[in-house]
Amino acid sequence: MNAIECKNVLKRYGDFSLSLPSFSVEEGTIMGLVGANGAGKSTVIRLLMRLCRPECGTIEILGKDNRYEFNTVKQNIGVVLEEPGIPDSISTNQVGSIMQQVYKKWNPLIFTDLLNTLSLPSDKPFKEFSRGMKMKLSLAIALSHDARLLILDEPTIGLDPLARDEMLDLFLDFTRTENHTILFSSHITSDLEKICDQITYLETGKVLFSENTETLSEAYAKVVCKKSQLEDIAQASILGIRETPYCYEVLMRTPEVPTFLQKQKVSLEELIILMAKKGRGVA
Amino acid sequence: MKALLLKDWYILVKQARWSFMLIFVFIFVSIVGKGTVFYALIATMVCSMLPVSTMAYDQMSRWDVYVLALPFSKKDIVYSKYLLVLISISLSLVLMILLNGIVAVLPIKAMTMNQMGQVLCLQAILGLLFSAINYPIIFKLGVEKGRALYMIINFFLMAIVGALLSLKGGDFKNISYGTSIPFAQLLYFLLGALCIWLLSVFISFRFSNKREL
Repeated sequence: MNAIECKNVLKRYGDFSLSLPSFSVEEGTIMGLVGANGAGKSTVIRLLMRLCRPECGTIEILGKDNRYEFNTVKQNIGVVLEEPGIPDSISTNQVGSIMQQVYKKWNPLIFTDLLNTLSLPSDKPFKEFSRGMKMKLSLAIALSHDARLLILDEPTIGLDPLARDEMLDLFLDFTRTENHTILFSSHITSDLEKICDQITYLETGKVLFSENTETLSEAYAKVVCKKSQLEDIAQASILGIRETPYCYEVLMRTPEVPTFLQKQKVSLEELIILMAKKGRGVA
Repeated sequence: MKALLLKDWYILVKQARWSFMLIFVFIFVSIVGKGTVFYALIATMVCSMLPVSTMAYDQMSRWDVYVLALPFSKKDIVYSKYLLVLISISLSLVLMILLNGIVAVLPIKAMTMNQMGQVLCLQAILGLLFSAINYPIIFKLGVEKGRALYMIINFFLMAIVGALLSLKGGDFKNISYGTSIPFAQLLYFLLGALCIWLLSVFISFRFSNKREL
């Protein structure tokens, strides 16, 4: 079963349009959403949470169409948005009291435990929190009501490496329960590589690939070649290209790499940079 | 709904202390003053504005977006703000009754029951109409843009009321208790204001539903 399923979804904002002909996240997995600023990651999350309406298409979350009785489904979703959305004057304890009224399965003990784990003060107003602390509090809320699905928009932004690592461990803990699913967007490819089962790459509102993390490095390869060799590669096989002072780095699907060139492993970051450069006509 | 009201309460306690003080002072002055209803009405207007303040803070902190990712719909948000205005208007009425009760035991002239009934009706009518006119504008345009428009609308409304009163030879500042509109008539006006207010809830919901954050 899919925890998230989008079919023929289209959303327009002026000149920008986001298209998700077929996008799904399997239950029990972690899906990473990656892409440049303005690629449409936050729009995907807004559409899923019905913070905005698509022009067409259907979105199912936990098996239910998000146009109908979505409030019941939202009881099972933990959300972290790009802007945490907690009013400045409210303290952590007050946030707990509010959320106790919001979620039927709110667990104050788990919340307090998470506050301690994430070193968050209970009596300070939200305005005195750093960006990282704000994201941590949002995550503590998302994890304290027995959610089955976490939808997280750049949750590790503004966190130092240690705090990021703690947060990623919390995500992994969460998915130890069989049907728990996470969709999270991030710029930090190392975070995605570390915990995601699947990665979806968005470029100017379109999904360029959605692949299993383990097979991703096998599916794509990088070749380093000279200009003369570049002319022998079929243009259609070139997924991305970068010119350096001495050579060209070319991204291709592994089976399409010509025998006269040597394949090199490509990291997620390189893959994205190479694809993005081709998309922008940099090469 | 309880969660939304609780959140607004936390915000108001922190951010609107001066408004609470103003409401108290205006009501007190209205009671111990020269029998004018003006200050009581101003207190009610401040009460009607309290939910608008919370909406401004919601928008500033992006709670208005976050709350829709929680198990709430736009309908819940609209209802909670209208419920909040009802609670704040009721509190201003209760404060009026309490302060008048206290003043009555002091050697200061307090209002009679008839006068009190009239003032409470006038306060409720104004509070309901004020929110009924302004809230749909805010739900349509947001607090920032909406505030400018409703200030203009309120200015013209006040000007019209003032002009009508001066045509009848009255003075808005000196409408005396018990000498103006009969109590029974005021109850009809109150009923009318309540109907307009309910219509306003419906319009605000329509506006809020169409608006994308």
